[in-house]
Amino acid sequence: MRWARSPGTAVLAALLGLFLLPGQAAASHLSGGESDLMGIYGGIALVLGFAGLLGVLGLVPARWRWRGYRWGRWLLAAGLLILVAGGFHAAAIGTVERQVGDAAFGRLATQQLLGTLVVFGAFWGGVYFLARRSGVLNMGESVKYAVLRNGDPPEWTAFRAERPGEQRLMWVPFAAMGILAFFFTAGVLFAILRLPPSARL
Amino acid sequence: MMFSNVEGSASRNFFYTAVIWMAIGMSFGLFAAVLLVVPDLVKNVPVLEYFTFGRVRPVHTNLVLFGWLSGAYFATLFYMVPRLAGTPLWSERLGNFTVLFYNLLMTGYAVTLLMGMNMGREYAESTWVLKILTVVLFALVFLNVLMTFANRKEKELYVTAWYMLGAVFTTPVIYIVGNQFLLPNNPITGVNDAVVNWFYGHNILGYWFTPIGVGAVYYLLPKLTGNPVWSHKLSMIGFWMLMFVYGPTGAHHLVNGPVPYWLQTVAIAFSVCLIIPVWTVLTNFYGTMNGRWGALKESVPLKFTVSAMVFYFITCFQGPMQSLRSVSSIVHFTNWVVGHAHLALVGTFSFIMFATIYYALPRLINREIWSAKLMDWHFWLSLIGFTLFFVSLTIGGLVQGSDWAANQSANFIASVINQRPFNIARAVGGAMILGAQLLFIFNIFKTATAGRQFSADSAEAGSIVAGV
Ligand code: HEM
Ligand code: HEM
Repeated sequence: MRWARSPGTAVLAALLGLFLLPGQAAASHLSGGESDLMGIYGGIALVLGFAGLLGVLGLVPARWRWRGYRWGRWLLAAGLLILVAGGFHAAAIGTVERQVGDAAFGRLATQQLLGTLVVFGAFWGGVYFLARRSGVLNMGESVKYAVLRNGDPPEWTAFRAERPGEQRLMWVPFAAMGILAFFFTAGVLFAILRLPPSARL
Repeated sequence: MMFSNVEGSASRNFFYTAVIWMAIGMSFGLFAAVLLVVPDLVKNVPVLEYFTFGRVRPVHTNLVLFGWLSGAYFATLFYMVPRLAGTPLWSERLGNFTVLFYNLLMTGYAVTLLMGMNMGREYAESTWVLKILTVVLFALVFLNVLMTFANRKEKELYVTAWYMLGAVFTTPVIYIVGNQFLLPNNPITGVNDAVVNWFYGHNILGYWFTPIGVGAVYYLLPKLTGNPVWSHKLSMIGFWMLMFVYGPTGAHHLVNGPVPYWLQTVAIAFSVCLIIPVWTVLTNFYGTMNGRWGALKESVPLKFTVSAMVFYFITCFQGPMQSLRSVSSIVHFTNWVVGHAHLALVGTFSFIMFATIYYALPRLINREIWSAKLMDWHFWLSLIGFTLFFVSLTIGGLVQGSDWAANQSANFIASVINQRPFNIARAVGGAMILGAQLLFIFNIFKTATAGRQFSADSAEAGSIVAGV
């Protein structure tokens, strides 16, 4: 069946799962130094989602392409599910005074969260619907070649013949990103781990 | 008629005046940086004594954000949109009127802020009359852009056009709602005031400063390397993700604050997701550069673009990290965040605008950039100065956060003293950046007055010069 294979179905399935999953996400206006579970959920969701995306678009090595087409949308959906369900979970266990808990307040907060998601989803759903109907979403790769010949002359470097070995320059920005990412992470971890036990944040 | 109708004149005039506001705005930034090292610098100096840090800082931020970067963005819109639409700008006259309007408005910003007239909300400091005029300014630019698209000959929309249209449609909503409907007496109060402020403060970055800059990169890369963009489809996914995911992240500026917990969590989750649109840009960047890396050796605009991509990566690596509660509890309120702000707005988007100006100006005024050597100097001095700038702020921020966490209020002044070396290094880095921009402006001035003729086929001529 065609509908069962569309990415829309996968995403809908993920959303349905969400509404069944989080029963008790409460929320509070108080907070203080809770866990960063969200970072972990987000990280996993991210990797799955991006890999899925590349798969759906066929932007993976030829050997993997059919797997990408086949499983990409489910990776994407799993990413989404983990992300939003993780959000509920983190909010639920992170709440400081859940036991003191004012159930009405928790319900209100959950409703607000769902309300926000609904408004947001509806808005972007509408945009997507209109964009699809007007046909702009089907604009293909041809336009990227048109831009090269739009009468705006490219720089002369665009016509320059590549010399052997120059491709290696790609490692310069790559290394720069790696070094920066390493030091930023190490710096933050160092600062967090070095905190004295008495520290009040 | 008072305003020129010559094709390209509005774009050119925006570029010319934007770089002047850049120099003024950065000078105020440097002044603020020096004040952090020598707080008593202007004490008892007539007139200057009114230029306290509290006044100088908003003058700096408003002039660099609205005078420099937005001015350069207007120029970029006026340059790229007609070329993407295959038709001239709808009205050069209106465009040139807008240039004048914008310059008067920026003067108004500078004067009122220096006089201490400040609404007290970040990036929304100017008084409400000026805000209304700001909306008028944006409306005039956007009208011109939309009408140009409406008259377009090229039916398909390239990714740059998508980013630019996205910005044009979302920015007014964000500005007007975020500035509390431009009313004189901010009706929304308390915590909600902060939430609305950061809906604006964050989304003006995400829906104005980001898409125009990223859109410009998508335009420049093919023009500089000769390769078409690697995957148009991926770029479209990136665009829609950006539009979709940026919206609810404003509360990540208020993490661990007294705003609803769920709102913070939503903001954090979406902040982590923001990595995806960034990765789409970087994947496309690498794909498009493939086989053309040698051009990096000879093209200063490409050097700026590649550096900007590195800084974009690290900005958006750092961003999700600092939105996490435990990281935020250390780095919030510290120099680390100031480093992040400059990584995005100087290292990424100002660098992209330098590349855009080097590319667009010769085509607008038919003259080659006057001095290739000065271009190189501009790049290296900016890069080295900026590296000193953001490294000192980033390390300084971690030291500051650790100091505060370790001794809370007991010895606050020690944490201030510990910042001194970092503040000095930042001021030195800032002076190098400003120096580089003065060379840049001089080069532009000489290009306009004494540059050799630029010809459309200097492309081929260039490859002869380079001996290939
Ligand atoms: C010569 C170069 C520059 C110097 C020396 C400089 C210096 C400064 C200083 C001292 C501050 C105040 C930080 C604080 O409150 O502790 C600041 C803030 C800021 N500057 Fe700059 N700046 C420069 C260039 C720029 C440029 C070109 C832009 C944007 C295009 C920019 C955007 C900002 C922003 C957005 C803030 C607010 C940061 C925050 O609150 O986190 N700066 N800058
Ligand atoms: C993945 C993308 C990004 C994320 C998740 C992110 C996240 C954050 C967070 C959490 C803060 C608040 C830090 C604090 O006060 O404790 C912040 C501050 C800031 N960000 Fe980003 N950021 C991202 C990209 C950008 C970009 C692209 C720009 C510029 C166009 C930008 C400009 C700023 C500025 C100016 C501030 C300082 C605001 C202030 O005055 O306090 N960020 N960012």
